Amino acid sequence: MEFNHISLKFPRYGDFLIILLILVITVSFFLTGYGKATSKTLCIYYDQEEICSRPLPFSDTLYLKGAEGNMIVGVKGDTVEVLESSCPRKYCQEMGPIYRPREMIVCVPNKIIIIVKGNPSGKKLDGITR
Amino acid sequence: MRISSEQNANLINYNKIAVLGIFIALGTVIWILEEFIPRPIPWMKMGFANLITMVILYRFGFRSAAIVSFMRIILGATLTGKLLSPTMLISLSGMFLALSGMALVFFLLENQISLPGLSIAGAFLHNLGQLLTASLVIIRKPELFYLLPYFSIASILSGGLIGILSVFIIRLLFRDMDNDPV
Repeated sequence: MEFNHISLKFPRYGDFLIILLILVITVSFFLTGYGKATSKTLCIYYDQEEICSRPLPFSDTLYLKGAEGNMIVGVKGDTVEVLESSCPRKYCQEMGPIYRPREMIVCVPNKIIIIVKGNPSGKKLDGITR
Repeated sequence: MRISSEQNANLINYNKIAVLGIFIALGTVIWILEEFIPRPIPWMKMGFANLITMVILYRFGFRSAAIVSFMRIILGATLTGKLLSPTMLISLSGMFLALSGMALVFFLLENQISLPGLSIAGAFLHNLGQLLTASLVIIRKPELFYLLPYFSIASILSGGLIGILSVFIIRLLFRDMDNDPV
């Protein structure tokens, strides 16, 4: 397949088509399930197994054992942050605090995923009467 | 005079092999050096090594680009001690989806797009391929797809920048394209 007759002059309208397509995918993905979350839950997974599920806000320091070593997660109110991790690159530490629904910290070497899940307001019942 | 591949189908094109070798080495070095550049967002990488892929794709076509980026990933993984690790699998799947998707986009919108547009499509598909492998094979958590919006915004920025830079490099390298013998 020869690519050498592709235009070097930019932008052309096909470029905008590609950007538009990517933005449509992004926005449609954003809109699904991005209702107004009334309450949030902190979920932590280790190797596909849920090891923690606690409704936010609370304040605590969690000591986790990952595949590579130990990991310290600090929860202050409704913000969650990895304080210390034993993984080689420390991406999870550099991510900083997370608090919005659907935000997450993934530590691949430790096989730990920390997700703030939002509970959509529509699905939560205020009360049940009989 | 430019020798086309039809004219010397039986001959080995040594010039092309030499140039591809140089570009593989360049790509590997850029890929390794990029690890040391501080990043504004920890999980976002510009992917400057893909400049090499874009130049090769423009000049030598799809097959050479596939060879160069495959060899770059294998060499880079060997040198950094990540051969056959999950990281390498993620890189390979991103490369595979990006190149095949770019070929498809080029096939569909051949006369309507420019090189930066193709680069943006490639960057998006690269991120999508990496996310697919990470969420379905390695971490096996579909929740990882919540990251897709961040990845697609990042791919528009990095793909656009890489595309525009590769246009400048192509203009510099192949200014007299009809005269070079490669």
